[in-house]
This record gives sequence, C-alpha cells and structure tokens, in this order.
Amino acid sequence: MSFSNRLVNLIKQKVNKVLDNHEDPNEALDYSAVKQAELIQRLRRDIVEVVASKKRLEMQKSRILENINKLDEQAKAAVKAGRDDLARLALERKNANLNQIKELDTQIMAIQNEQNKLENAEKRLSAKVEEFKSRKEIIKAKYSSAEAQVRIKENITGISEEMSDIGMSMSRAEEKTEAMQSKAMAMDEMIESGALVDYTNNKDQIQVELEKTETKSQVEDELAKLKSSIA
Amino acid sequence: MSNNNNNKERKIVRILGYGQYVVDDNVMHEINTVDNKIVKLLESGENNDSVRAEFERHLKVLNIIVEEKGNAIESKEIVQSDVVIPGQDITLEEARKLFKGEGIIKDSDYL
Repeated sequence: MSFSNRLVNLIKQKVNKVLDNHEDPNEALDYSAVKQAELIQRLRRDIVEVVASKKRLEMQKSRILENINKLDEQAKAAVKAGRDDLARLALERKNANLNQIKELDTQIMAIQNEQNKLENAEKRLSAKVEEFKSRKEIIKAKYSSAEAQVRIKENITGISEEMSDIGMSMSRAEEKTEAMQSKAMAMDEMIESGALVDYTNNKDQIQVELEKTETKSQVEDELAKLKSSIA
Repeated sequence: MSNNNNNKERKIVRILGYGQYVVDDNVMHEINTVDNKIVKLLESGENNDSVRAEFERHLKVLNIIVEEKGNAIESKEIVQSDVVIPGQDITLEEARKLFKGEGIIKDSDYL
C-alpha cells in the first residue's frame, strides 16, 4: 500500500470512531463543537509553552555569547602578558562555547519551526471552527432530512481530520519541547559547573592567573624602579 | 470529489501539519511515483546515511510537488482529504512507525 493511502486510512479510522459514537447527528455536531473548543485551548497553551522554551534557548545563547566575548578579552590580555598558555586555555574554552552556539542555533531553528506550525494550525482551526459553528446551526434546522445527514457527516469528518492532524503536530511539539527542556537544563548545569566558563565565581581560573601575572609584572616594575633609585 | 469544467478529476491532498491542497489528477501520478520510492525505503528497514538522505530528498520533492502544483485550500474550508502525505520535517523513524500504523497518531482525546 502507498504511504499516502496508509496515512489517510489511519486518520479515517480515528475520525470514524467519532461518528460511530453518536447515533443522534445533532449530538455528534455538539460533541464535535465541544472537542474543537477544547483543542483550540490546548493548542494555544502549547504555543505559549513552545515560545517559552524558545526564549529560554535564546537566553542561553546570549549568555554563551557574552562568555565568548569575555574569553576573547582574556585571550588578548594573556597574549599581552606573554602567557600563551592562558591564551590557549581561553581559546579552547571559546571553541567549546562556539560549538554550544551551533547546537543551540539548530535547536532554536527547530523550535521556531514547531512554533510556526502550531500558529498556522491555530489559524486554520480557528477559521474552521467558526465556519463549523455557522454551518452547524443551518444543518441543525433541517437535520432530519437525508441531505442534512450527509452534510453532518461531511463536516464532522472534515474538521475531525484537521483536529487529528493538529493533535499529531501537538504531540510532536510537546515531545520536542520536553527533549529540549532537558537538554537546556543539562546545558545550564554545564554552565553552572564551569565546564564552559566559571560563572559561579566572578573570577575564573584564567582571570585569576591573569591577575597574578599582572601583579607579578607590577612588582617587577616597582622592583626595577627601586633598584634604579638606589643605584 | 466534484469534477471541474475540464472534467478532470481533482483531489484533496493534506500535508500532515501543513494544511490541505487541491491538485489535478495528473499531479496524483507524480505523487504516487515519489510515494512508491518512499515506501521502498521504508520497507528496506535500512538506516544508513544514504538511505536517510534519499528519504529526505524524496520527501522534499513530494512536498514541493503538492505545494507548487496544487492550490492551497482556504483555512475555513471544511473538507475531507483523498490523500494524506507526510510533512517535510518527518524523520525516517517517524515515517516507519506511521507506515506500520503505529506511533504519532495516538488514541488521543483530541477528537
């Protein structure tokens, strides 16, 4: 069987269940309307969640960018002080940070895609729900006719298909957001633990070493001055 | 589906997660050709990079055919699809699950 036929059958199975559950077509229309309202609510909540996850990733990104700037400065300062070893360390850390940025960018793009999908789905569903409401009243007025029965089936099937599709998109987005949240937590821990840079101390290892070097050269300078004044 | 003036049959295609399109019957042949290629990949059970790349390529082509040769259906239209194709962002693993009729579409309470 073709993939596309299989997919259409999968959705039809779901949709038929809805129709089978209601003998009274009027009841089926009302039930569907309730479910539509529920789904829209849920969809809007999911969008809020996805946006929040994206913001969190973006905040992490800006933290890491700050980090990169700081490490750049440190590398420069280290080279000036003749401490290539420290400069190397700073640049190594900068590289690790750059890799994190790449990963974050991919994640941000993926979550943006989910966001766009859900927002478009929300627009489609809202428009359909409005249309369904007005059609529902018209059909209800003459629901006993054979034609109305056909229309009811068509409308419920059509909108249920959309709902089933959106349900899938939501499940995927939820799974992705969860996975990203745990990744983001892991990255927060990495940052906190100083694997990327020491945020917990204002002075990280490189900074401490640089300051030591600076103090040393100040002492040397003073010593030289002292020596020349005595001589 | 209703016939248009040229008496050519038109079909409604849903791209999972991206809405519905109307396409002419001749476009359906194109869709089926690519679909068959995808089915072969799914049935092969292979997972290597070249299979993955080929899957992604066919999927992209499938989506482009519908988006470019079809007409997007207005949001408020309530109409059943004749055919449902996967969206471009589906993974090989997800596609395999769907093909076997499991996963993703859960017995959800969405309906």
